[in-house]
Amino acid sequence: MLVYVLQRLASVTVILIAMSILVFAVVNLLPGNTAIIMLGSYSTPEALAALEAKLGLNDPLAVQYWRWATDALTGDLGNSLVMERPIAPILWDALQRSAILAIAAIVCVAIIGILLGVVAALYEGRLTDHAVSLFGYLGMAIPEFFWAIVLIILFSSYLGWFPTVGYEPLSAGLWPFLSHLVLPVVTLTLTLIAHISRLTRSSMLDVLQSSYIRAARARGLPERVVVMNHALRNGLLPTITVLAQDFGWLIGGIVVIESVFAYPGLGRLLIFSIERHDLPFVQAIVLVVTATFCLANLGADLLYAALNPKIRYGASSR
Amino acid sequence: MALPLGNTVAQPAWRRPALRGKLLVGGALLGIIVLLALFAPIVAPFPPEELHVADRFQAPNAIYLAGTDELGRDVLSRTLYGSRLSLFLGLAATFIAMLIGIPLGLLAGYSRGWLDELIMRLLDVMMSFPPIILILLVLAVMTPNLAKTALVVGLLYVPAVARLARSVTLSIAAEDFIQAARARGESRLYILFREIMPNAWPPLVVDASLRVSFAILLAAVLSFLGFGVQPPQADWGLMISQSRSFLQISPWIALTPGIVMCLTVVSLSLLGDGLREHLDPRLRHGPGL
Repeated sequence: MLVYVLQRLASVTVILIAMSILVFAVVNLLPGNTAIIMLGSYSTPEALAALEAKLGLNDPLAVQYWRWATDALTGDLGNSLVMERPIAPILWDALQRSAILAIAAIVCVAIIGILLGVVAALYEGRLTDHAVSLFGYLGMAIPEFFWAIVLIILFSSYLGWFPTVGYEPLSAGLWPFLSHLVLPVVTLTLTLIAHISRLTRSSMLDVLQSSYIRAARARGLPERVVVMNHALRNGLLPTITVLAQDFGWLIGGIVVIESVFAYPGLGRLLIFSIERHDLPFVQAIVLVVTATFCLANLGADLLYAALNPKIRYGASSR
Repeated sequence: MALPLGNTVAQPAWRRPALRGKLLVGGALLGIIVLLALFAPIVAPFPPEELHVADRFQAPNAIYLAGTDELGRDVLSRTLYGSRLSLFLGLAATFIAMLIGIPLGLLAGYSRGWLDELIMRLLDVMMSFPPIILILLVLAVMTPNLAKTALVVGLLYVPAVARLARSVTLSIAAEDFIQAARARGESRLYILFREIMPNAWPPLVVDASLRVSFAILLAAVLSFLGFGVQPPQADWGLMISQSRSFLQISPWIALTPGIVMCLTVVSLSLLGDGLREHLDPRLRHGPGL
């Protein structure tokens, strides 16, 4: 187990370094550097040269990368070009608000998705099973931004239950806070649920046909105990890995959802900085988001290993 | 009875209609959408960018079957023309992903060793980005247009295609006829493209049909966010994005392209699922076996 953890840690570190180089390269190798963007179309060659020198853009790229990466490690992500303020505090606030969305969505997806999958597996081939899979098809076929629009038309414009856009902090009261979260979270859940419920269904079906389940039934255990205590434990293993993979889609979904619902999180900030060519800000957001994604994957791998006896005991023998 | 080749076990009668049904329904639906897209100039009642300023925000009626938008443009015509863009984007991106991904996967899976390691680790780095983020990063430093969107979406899918091609290659490379070809002294290129490739296509085709639908959705999302197809072109994602300010008074501007987009995606995934069940003998007996 320790060997496995160290291996995974090493590979995540390597990937994080490679990734930061890639982010830096994309932003800095392509034409149009920060100084040109800062000065806009009124730049004179002299002003440009002066600013480039001030920003250190004439240093070799490797030096620039090193400066950027080491600063980032100490929490200094540089300054925003557009807002002319340090990036880190703004990014931190937005990250917290996005995390609220992400955690709420992943919890809903996990609970409802697994429940639907288990129910579909128990009623295999019957109407309930087909209804769940139809629901899954719809969820996957409709992209998040269209779900968002449909939900806004239905629950905001037509029924008037929830506000269309925006965000209220918890300090403004529980209902204002929650009511702004409902539609974004429902949208994210709808698009991700199909994946989880399908996978849970198929792995539960595999498990339910295995001999130890037949043995448990033969011993006369009540069906509830067989399903909850015996089948679910093994049936859920693959689901954990997929939840982590879905986290990547969730991040993509959050970018879209935040811009539909004008929710002031990291995704909206990213779109905002791209539209205004705030390259240092884009670079910082992509770095933070991707690092979060890598760490989530690492967490899922370790959780999977901790739950799966084959890896827990068998890693060293491989 | 006409059973697929190599299948000696009769299937339960009630399963077969569902299997053919998916292929049939998906194929027919997709066929209709493709025909409508191809003949959009004939079928569409109005040119997609023609303004009817007097008829802004018309609800669906006899003249404007799906209503008009904020500039009085016919929503149905724009949706029909939009299907050309979306299908083109989906096909072009998938083509690019396969053009690069399949040779990479073949090479990695057949060579093994350091080349395999190098290719796969590089692809791992690409896959460790959340998908939309990587695209936005690239588009952030370029001015977006149709061709760039197709290219970027295609490149994003290279790792997934390459991984699939690699795993298929690994299993085929272990077969006797490959050993025989190697013993005959055939070149590596010959073995890759004349021996392995013809046997590797079924899973790749299934993957391609599903990938077209992913690519259509991703391209629509990019247009929606403003980083794909640019106005005034009629693109589904763009139409939905621009309709956002008018959802209260005229929801049809968003709903028409949205529903057609969903039908396209559903038809493609039905087709893909149907193809997979048709081509994969293990699935012919239905799920769970």
